[in-house]
Amino acid sequence: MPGIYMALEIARKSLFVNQAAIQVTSHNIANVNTPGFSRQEAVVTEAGAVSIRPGQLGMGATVTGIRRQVDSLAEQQLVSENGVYASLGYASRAVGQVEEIFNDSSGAGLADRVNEFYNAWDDLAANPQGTAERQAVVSTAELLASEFRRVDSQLTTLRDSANRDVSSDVEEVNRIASQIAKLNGSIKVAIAQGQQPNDLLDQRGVLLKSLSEKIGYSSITDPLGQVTLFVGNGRILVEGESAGSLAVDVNPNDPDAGLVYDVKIRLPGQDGPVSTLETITGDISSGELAAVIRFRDVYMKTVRGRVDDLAYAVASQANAQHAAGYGLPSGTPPVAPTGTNFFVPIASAANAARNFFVDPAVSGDISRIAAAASPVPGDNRNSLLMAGLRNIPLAGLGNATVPNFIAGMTGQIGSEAKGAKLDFEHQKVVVNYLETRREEASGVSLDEEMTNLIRFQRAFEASTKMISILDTLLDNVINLKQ
Amino acid sequence: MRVTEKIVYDAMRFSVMENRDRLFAIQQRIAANRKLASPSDDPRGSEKASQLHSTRAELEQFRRNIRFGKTSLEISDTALQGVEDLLVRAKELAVQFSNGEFSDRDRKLAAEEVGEIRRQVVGYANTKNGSEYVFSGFLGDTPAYSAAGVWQGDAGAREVRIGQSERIVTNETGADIFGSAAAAGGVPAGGLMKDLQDFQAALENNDLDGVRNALTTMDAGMQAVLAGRALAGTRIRRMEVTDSAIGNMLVAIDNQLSGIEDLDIAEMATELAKQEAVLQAAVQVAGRIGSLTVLDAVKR
Repeated sequence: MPGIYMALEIARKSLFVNQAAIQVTSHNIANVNTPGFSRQEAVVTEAGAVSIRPGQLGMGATVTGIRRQVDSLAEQQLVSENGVYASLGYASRAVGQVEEIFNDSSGAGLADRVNEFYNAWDDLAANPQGTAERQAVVSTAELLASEFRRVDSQLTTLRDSANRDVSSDVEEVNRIASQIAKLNGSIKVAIAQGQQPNDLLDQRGVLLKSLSEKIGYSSITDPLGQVTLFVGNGRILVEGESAGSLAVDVNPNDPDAGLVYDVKIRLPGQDGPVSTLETITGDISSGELAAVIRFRDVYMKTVRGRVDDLAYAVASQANAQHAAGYGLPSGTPPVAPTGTNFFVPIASAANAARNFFVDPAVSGDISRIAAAASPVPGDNRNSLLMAGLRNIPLAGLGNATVPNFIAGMTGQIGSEAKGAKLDFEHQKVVVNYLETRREEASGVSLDEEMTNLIRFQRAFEASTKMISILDTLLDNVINLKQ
Repeated sequence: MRVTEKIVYDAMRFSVMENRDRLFAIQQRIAANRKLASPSDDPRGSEKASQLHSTRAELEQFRRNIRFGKTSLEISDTALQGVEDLLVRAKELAVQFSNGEFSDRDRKLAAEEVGEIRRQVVGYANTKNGSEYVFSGFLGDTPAYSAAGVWQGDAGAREVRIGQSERIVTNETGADIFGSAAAAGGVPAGGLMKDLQDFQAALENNDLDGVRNALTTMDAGMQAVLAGRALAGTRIRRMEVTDSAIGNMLVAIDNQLSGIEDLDIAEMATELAKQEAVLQAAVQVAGRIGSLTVLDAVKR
């Protein structure tokens, strides 16, 4: 039955509905710059009706929920592309640092050192007994050796810093995983109580995004809103309210034992020392951690392998030719030191750059430098052959000469750095696009909020007017009998 | 499309930052005056440049080798010219005294002059380049001939590299020019030194046949010296030709290197102006995006 009291009740509800809408608007405006915030909206529906003759009478409006505006496809893509973005960013920075080590546009560098070394042998050929020429051969060789060792030690420094990045990334993953587990708990409670934990969901979304920057994962969401996270090929990192963790452990099989960390996983609730945990180093698919591991275990090894191949080839080639020659005869009867190595012999290409030294027997006694092909002091034939070594292609360098191999190596490292940079730039555009898509769906527009505010304000004003008019009506009814 | 303030501001920030980044890269290149700051700017170019630098270093070394070789051969040639002048005089004496009719005193004086010529020839044959005797082969520490004129060097050919697979001999051995006969009783058994010794003895002993024979031997000695000078001249010429060829190659390499490494200032200046204009536009747009909003309309 229609009545003034019913109308008053509708007006009261109307006040409430518009107040709620204004409050949501205010919340949106307050969070306009909060990262990861999704715009919210009061869901208003009609509050049902009563049937009377001649028809149904509406009972006003009511707020049935507060909804987050989310484009879940964009959100998902953003999480995975953001992981790729973080890993490409790391790769591009790291490969750029390697490039700097080989950047010889400043005039230093392997190519110049190698040329100076061979040129010194040409000068020695012109004056095979000259002390200055012999000294120059030794000192250019020492410079070449120290350049090899500089490159090697800088590569080692980069490898060690990548190793530190592994352990700091692991700590960050653990911090995020435990926060996600906590939020899982709060979200479960809210949903069990029939609530919509919008802000908690936003917070967890931000954490998931930062997690994807560190490590690739897959996830499933259960009916209570809890996410289960899998990393490293399906191993559980977070399940409900309990979080597992990652740990670093020294890799026992790496040739640089004691220097390279493996990543291991402790499943939720698992006990035992780190050594008993399962290794997932090779199973990490994306995110910064994957990039660090790939850089450390693949790229650095490739680059170091090239440098070691070069060092090994230069030293063994020079040694073989040097040992065939004769130094200056000395003593009576003259003794010609033959079979002398010029560089300290290196057993194999492994770590050759690190072990590149001029043989102290030669640097300590320059008369042992083998310029001659016979035990005659003025013979210069072996130094001519030493100087010509630069033009001989070597099987160990893929049939390139030493200078050409260095040039090729510079070009290759340059193109790898360029590739990494371009991949990163491209991914930046992809992520930028997805950020915009996410923002389109979930971002707060102040213009929109202001316009809505005017609407709600007007509706609120109308409701108050309604109440005051209904009050007047009631007043009229009460005073009817006077 | 639903455009929020964040989309607009982010887009603006992105565009300003990107353009600033590009501008900075151009400024950096101009400041460093290099087209390639690092190999990744042009990997293939860097590779090529590194090869060219190595080739260049070796070519410069070939030029150094050529300078050394020329000096060495010029020193030999100067010595041989001295010997040639002495032999001209020796031949004059042989012609003069081969018809007899000279007093003992004249012959004695002539014999002394020939002895002096022989000593001077030995002196020239022992010419040094720096600390090394140029006619001694590999035995640069040892004089080519003893005072008595006995050969003490070896046949070593001192080469230098003037191309990747090209070498040139930078010495002439005394043996090839003055003879290398073994010693017999403290004097050489043959060769120019022996011939001069015989000539001197013939004059002293009034041996007319011996003096006439000296006409032939001095002529032969002269021929050997002239052949030696001709050989030095040929080699010097070959080195000069190679040197100028290397000069041309260096010019070509420098041109290529300049194409890869050097900055085209005019092009860069244009780029700079263009990029500055783009950045300016981006900044101006950024300055105006806050000005259109409902907030202004509802202010009361």
